Amino acid sequence: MTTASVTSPAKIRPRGRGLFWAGIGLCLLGIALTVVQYNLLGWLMVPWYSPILATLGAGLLLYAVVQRRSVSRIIGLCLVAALAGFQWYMLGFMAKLPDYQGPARVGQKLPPFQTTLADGRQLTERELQDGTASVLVFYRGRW
Amino acid sequence: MIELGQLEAKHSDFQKRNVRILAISLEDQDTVKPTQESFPNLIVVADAERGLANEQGLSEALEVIHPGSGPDGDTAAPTTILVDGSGTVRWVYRPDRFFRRLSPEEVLAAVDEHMPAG
Repeated sequence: MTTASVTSPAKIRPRGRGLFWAGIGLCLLGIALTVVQYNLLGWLMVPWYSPILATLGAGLLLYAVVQRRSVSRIIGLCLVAALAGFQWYMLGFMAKLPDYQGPARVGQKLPPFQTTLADGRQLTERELQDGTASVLVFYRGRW
Repeated sequence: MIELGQLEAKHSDFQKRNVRILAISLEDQDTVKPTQESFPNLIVVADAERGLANEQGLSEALEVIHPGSGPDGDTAAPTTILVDGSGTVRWVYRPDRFFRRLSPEEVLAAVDEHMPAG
């Protein structure tokens, strides 16, 4: 009497699957690091690493698509590439500020102005000539 | 608001140098009241009328921050200006991108460099 041995077929991982997920991961890593940088660490600097990581991620996804073409990989590549492109545009162009061209000149008196404090009192340039130095911080508002 | 929180946390270092901090936005008085309550050691300015922002030439930057917003836009370009006790401008800093802000340590270093007498 003979016994038949039953072996399950070895699972074959689709080629480039690791690259696909590594590409997605790099893209998400850039976003996660940006959130950590601003919200947890409070480092207020330009997160150039985020578009760099997204671009690297898009490169890995492209390689994964070359290895094995599928709808999900192509969609992933398009999304990550679009996100990388948006980030480059955002940081490279949209976020760019012009050089300061205003009338406040180093070595000269602050020009006349009148504005309002949070408590409703008026503030003019004369209040800033009382012997105490001032740091004027122009911020962008609550959001 | 991260920037203001950091400045608030370090306000005693500025106080030691006889330096006050004015936080200026283009918001109205009602909007900045909670900001003033959150940061009691800063002097919060509600420059909705743009009496200060226009004098500082900031309105030109609005078009760049929010293309199309024009001079009626609601945000100002982040800028830091040091003024000594006589009202003379000692230093003007504007980052090249609006994601960038000065840390309190960088502002203090600028104070020490450009206004050594405090």
